[in-house]
Amino acid sequence: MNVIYFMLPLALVLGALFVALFVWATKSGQYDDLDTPAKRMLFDDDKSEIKRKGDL
Amino acid sequence: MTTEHINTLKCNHCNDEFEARLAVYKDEQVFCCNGCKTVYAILHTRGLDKFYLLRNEEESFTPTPISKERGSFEYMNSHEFHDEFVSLKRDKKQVVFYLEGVHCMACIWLIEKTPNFIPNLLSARLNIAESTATFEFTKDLEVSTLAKELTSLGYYPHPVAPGDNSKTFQQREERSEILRIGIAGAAMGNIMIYAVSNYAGADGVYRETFNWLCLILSLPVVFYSALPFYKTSFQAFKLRTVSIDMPLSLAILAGFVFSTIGLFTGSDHNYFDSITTLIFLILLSRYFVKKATQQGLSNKGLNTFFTNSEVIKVDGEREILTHSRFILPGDLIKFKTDEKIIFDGLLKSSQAVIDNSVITGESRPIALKPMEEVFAGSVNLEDDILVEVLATAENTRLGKIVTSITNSELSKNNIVSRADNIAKYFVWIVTLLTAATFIYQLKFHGLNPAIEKALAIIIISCPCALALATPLAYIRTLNILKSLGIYIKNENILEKINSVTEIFLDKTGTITEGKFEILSFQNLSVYEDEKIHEIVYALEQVSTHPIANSLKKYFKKNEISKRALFTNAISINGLGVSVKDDVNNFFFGKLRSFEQTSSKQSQVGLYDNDQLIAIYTIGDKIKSSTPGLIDKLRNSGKNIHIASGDNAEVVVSVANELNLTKELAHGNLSPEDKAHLISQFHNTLMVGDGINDVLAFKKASVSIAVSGSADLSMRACDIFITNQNLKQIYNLITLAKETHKVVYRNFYFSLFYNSLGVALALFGVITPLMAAIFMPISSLTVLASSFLGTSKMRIIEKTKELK
Repeated sequence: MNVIYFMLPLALVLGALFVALFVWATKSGQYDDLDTPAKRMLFDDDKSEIKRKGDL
Repeated sequence: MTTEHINTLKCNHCNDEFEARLAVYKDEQVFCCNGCKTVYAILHTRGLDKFYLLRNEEESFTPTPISKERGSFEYMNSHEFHDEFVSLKRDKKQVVFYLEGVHCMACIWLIEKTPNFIPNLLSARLNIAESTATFEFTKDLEVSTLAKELTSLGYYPHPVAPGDNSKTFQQREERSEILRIGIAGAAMGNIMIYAVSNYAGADGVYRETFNWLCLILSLPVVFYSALPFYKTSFQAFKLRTVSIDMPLSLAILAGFVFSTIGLFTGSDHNYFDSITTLIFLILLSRYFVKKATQQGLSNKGLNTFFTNSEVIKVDGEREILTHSRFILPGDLIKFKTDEKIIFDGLLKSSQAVIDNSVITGESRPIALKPMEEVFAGSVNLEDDILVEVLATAENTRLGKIVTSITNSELSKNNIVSRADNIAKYFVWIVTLLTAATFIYQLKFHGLNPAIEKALAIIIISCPCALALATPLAYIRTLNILKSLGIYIKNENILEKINSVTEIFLDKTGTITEGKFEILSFQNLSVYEDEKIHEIVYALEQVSTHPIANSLKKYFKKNEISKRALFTNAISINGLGVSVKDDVNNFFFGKLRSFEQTSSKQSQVGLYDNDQLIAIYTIGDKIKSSTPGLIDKLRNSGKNIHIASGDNAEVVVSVANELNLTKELAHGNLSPEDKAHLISQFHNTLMVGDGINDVLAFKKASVSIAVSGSADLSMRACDIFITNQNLKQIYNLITLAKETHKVVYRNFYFSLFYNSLGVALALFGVITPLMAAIFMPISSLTVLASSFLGTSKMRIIEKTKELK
């Protein structure tokens, strides 16, 4: 049962760490646009298919 | 989907349905106009065909066909422009554009691909909700080049100045909202771990430590996340009204204070887990409602209302392209054909034909003489005209209407929500029950159990289910509405729709298409139709009469060849056009009264040697979905009025066609008259599209702007419908009624749980553990009830999917 003296503070520190990260992410504007990224991730990476402007 | 008798095709670019005879072809692809064809060609040669694949996956794609030819954006390379709109980051430049024409996933893809084919463009990021895109580029790229490229893709750019005050404020609000939810969620999750351990039977030092941890973790939730509740309660208290946030705040604070006192005095019972869950769930559900209502109606549009980045200023011999912000009264401005006039001014050209329907609702184009006034918002239909500016931006007639809207917007949001109304009764019931329990327990069990049981009632009774009942029901409805193309600005408007009895419909653009069109063509001669069209087309070349314009447009669309058949055609003022020589003796113009077959529409005819050989009937067509809507609304017991700025006779004839009585057809109304008319009735719904409806929107209980509305109407209305089909208005009314049912069902459920809770509390069986079980169950029931909705809701949702 003694392991709880180690686990409990660790859990709290980890939790605090993630909350701090969340606060930082929000303040730096990562949640300002919630609509576009949800769709952006669905596009395939297909840079090679795109012709350069010179081909026009 | 449109009328049955017209053969329609779908444009390969914009997906719009259009009449088959207007089609433009290229590479076996079909388009509705040359603009769309050009954009297709550009995308195709650059290997960007994937745009169409992505686009087809979007069900709610409602784009505008590309038809406007726009200019060179030279002004964007000027120093003034750079100072204001371009920000420098080390050696990178950055500019933000509001893009007209952004709709969907495919647009994100296309715009963010631009760095691949525009040289020196480093990155492009689009925010789809706001329609703004941020571009980073090196100094070798001129902003005008970027703007031109975007235009060629079909997105018209309007520069957005960085650090717009209202935007940063809104952004701060939104960020703190997310923070509140996130922190409440994190704290709730952690508290749950310890609370559940305690319920499971942790004891001794563990139990005590866990209780203290719960207290510490609940601090940020109670004193930060829950702040909005206290604020609203306090405001409501100051205004001497009741808000749903009051019982909430009471439960939160009472629960927190008594749990803390209990902890210090050695009592084992606390409600930290219940309080934090409550705060988290309610914040979350409110956030979702807000998200569901805001979309599609960002305030960005208005900034571009009087703004045109391509104003042609005439300075002596020179023509200067400039931004509308640099125009002052007294300047001479040239407006091209089909260009929107954005200033109030005096006409300097010898003549002009103006479409004033935006302001007056008059469907016929108006011919103006020199020195007559033109108003911002109208459209120049014919040749280029010169206008001396009298007023710009907010000083124009239109600008004043805009200002009145922006001011009234704040006041209109103060609608008391249903939850607040019901909270009134709940607060009393709960207070009475709490008092009863307290007295009962005090008498039989002593002070401590009395406080405990009374507290249990406050905390587990009304707040959670009650506060969730409305938002959850609304989220579901708002999502269905969104899939139907209906956007709601304020969710509380949903309950107002239920009490509507008087419905006012605008005529031009709402009931009708809002365009002057050839309604019918009657050939009385032996010639072929084509031949007659050709003669008329040739004759009409000399006429600038509004009717001639609509005819010319019609011929152009039908690909009637424009032959110069007559050299000596003359226009007879107000009557028509005639040509008389050795071979021909034609007259084209107004019919003699005995020849008219319809008294309602304008009719013109072609005469060959004084013999009538063809009749054209011209008018504003009624939308195909209008009669269906009116029948349905009437059957559900609503009174339907027509309120129009158009000629009273025309309005009455439209009313006749729709089987409405004459008394309910109001014509000749100025924007102010319309507002006055509506203010004479109660429980009104105004449906319109133009700026002339905006003042009426303000007066009506509920206002709806239909597809194709002016920017300003979209801003002023409560509800905006992007779907072409007017029947959606009926769906909206039905859904509002069904939502009402669901909200009440939710309330009944929460009432049931409350009575059960009260009964248990009275018998003294309630413990924090019971509370911890009770709360989520009551919330889940409400959630399930909201999610199920009603059978009618499911039918509307399904039929939409089938379509």
